[in-house]
Amino acid sequence: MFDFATTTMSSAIPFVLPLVFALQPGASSVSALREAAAEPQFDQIGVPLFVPTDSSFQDFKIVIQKLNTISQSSAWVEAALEKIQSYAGLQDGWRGEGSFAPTEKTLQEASELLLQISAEMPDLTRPLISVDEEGFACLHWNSTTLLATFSVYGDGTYSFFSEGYGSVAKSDDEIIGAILPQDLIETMTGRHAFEAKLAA
Amino acid sequence: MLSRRNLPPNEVNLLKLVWHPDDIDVELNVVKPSAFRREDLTGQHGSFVSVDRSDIAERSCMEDLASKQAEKANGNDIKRELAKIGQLGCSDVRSSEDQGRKLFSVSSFPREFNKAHCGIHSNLITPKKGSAMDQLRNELVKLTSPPVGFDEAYGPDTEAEGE
Repeated sequence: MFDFATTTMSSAIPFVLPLVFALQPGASSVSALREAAAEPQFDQIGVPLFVPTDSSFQDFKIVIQKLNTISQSSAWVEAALEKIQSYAGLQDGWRGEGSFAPTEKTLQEASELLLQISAEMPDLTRPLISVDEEGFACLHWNSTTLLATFSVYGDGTYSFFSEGYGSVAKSDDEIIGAILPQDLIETMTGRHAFEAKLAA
Repeated sequence: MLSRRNLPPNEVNLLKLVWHPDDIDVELNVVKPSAFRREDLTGQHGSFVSVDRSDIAERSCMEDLASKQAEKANGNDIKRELAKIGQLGCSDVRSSEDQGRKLFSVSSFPREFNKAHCGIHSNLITPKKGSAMDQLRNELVKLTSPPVGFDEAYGPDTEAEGE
């Protein structure tokens, strides 16, 4: 994990710079870094050293926060997988008459979907995991920017409804293991918003 | 056909019984979609989500319901350790829409033992599986405030204190 307090600017900026362009391609970030790079200096071994402006320093902090989120994400994946597996012991009737326990296949497919989502979108926050009376598994993201619900049915398919970054994506019969729909990724990451901003 | 007298006013909150930890994410203190049964949201066969309107709700009614549900849980794997109350604004539920189409309606279903009983109906006829169901649950999760204890929802239990 990156520690903002102890990481020096000279050692971190060369590493962070490409990530700023990759993760925060907003026009203001780019111009700030260009401004900072206008008069480059070099350290003792010739590595370019940038004198940070206020705005580039702010960008630096944002990227460090982003990197911390990514490094923490592996922790939530493990915890979420454990949570899914915690439902393995349920029996039919677990939530009253007529309720069904999730099958092993349902839990396996929920785990696969979770791993795929976390690999594709590593900077997501952790999801809420649950199963319902029908024995379906549910992955749910709930934050100020994203509200998404996935249902995993145990027959090799899942559905979702995702609302985030000003867009909505939904689908009824997605196949577990298939490529995630682009519109889904856009609602969950806001990538289209960044791209639009960059294009403008 | 619903008559106007069967419609709770927009100003009230709708109180929903939820269970810690099954229906609630303990760390974030938000309800999970599974707190809303699929069966209740199909828009068919008179299905609805049971709630109480806040203006005439009686704490004892909800406590009775919680007690019955907890009893059912005994001997099963249901984790119903603590009953809590999630609240939804009646007008927010009624205003919820998708492309100009209202998703829910709210009506009163007073019962002999619970005059405050109401139902949230899905206006979409939808199967239990699919993105429309995911959308309805997404929406209700969004509208439900962080669950609170009975004291916070109804005020202190003065009857119990007086005994």
